[in-house]
Amino acid sequence: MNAPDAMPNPNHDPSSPGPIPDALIDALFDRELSPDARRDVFDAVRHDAHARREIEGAAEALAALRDQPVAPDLTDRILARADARRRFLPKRLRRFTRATRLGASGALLIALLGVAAAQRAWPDRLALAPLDTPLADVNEAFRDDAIQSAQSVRESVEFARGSLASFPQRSAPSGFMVTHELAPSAEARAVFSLAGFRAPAPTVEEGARVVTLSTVFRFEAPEPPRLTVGRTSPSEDSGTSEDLRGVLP
Amino acid sequence: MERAEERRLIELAAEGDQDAASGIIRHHQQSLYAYMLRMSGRPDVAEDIVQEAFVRVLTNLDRFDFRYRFSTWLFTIARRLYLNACAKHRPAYDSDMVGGWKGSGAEPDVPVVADEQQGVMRDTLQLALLGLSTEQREVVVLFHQLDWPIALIAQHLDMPEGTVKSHLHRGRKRLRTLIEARQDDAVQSLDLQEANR
Repeated sequence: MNAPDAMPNPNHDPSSPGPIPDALIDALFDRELSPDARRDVFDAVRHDAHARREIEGAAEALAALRDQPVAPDLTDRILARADARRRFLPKRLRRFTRATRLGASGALLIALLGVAAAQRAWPDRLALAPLDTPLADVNEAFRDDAIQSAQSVRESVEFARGSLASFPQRSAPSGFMVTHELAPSAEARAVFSLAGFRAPAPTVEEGARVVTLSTVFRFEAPEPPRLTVGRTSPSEDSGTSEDLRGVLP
Repeated sequence: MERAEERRLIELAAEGDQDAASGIIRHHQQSLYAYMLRMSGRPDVAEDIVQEAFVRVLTNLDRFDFRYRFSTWLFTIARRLYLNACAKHRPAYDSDMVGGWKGSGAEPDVPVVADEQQGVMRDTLQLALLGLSTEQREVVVLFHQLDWPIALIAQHLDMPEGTVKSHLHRGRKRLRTLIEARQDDAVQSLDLQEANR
């Protein structure tokens, strides 16, 4: 144990092994020294009055620190406060509670498994949420709509044929066309009506076949067939298709 | 208490067994109270924090992770409660003095003078402890009073072991200096009283 600096220590005994470094005193109180090292320190302390005072002072303070204060028994007060927040249970009730919890958990598990199995077997009957529409259903719905539309057109044509029976042969229409109008509403509807026309044979102008309609008859159905063609904004204009606008009276 | 026994008590208490909860409280309340009294310097604060810490622990026993030490969990909760209380009531907790120590005249064979001297030393010590920073005080109390190893203190305070040691060395030196200064003041005061007579 050599002196860390050259300053002479007035309390130091010249026959001693040297002043005790602070790090060694710290190690002593940190309980990091072996029994032999501790013995060496205590031997050296006899020759170093400064270190002796320091060690004795610290030892006295730490001994007082070990004098534990008396703790009042707080058990009952703590249990009462804890019981107010979460009840303690008697032993018999505890067993019952444990069995009940286990039973309830088991029943819940079985019920969930049952629901899952039933849903797999009958997905339509046990739908917990709206099912997605399969593409096949959409296709079928379109087909039904198309059939219904064709039916309506056929009914309109038959009605028109009935009306044309009284026409003189000369002025009978040479053809029919179906016109449509988009009604201005949130749910766009096309209103179909039937028109008859007389026209000569088509002529060819600038590479296109052109038919000039000489006479157009429009037949109003008693209840014009309606077909929902999609949703549109209410501001959308109604009107006749461009290709038929010039045809209608 | 053996860890296996402690685990059994914790599991029983978590299921609602009051006797097991009592066993846990009785085993830990002395050291926790001592820790809190040293930290706060006030028996009423120490009692209140000890009670609240135990109540929180007992009502959350099912969340306890048995990989850790129960005492570390309990002391951590108590420490947080103390720091929160300090933040709320500062500086009231640092100003009052301690009463209620072990051996305060209760044993008939302890001489009265020696008991008084011990009492003076305890008061001096507590005042000196309150002169340390919170970290120094905490490290000194945990290491020298409750015999916690450095590694456990580092884990409890969430700081490196080197920092814990640094707080410990500085705290110990300052504690000794403060106690000596108070003792010198007391001697001078006695000399002054003698001279006045």
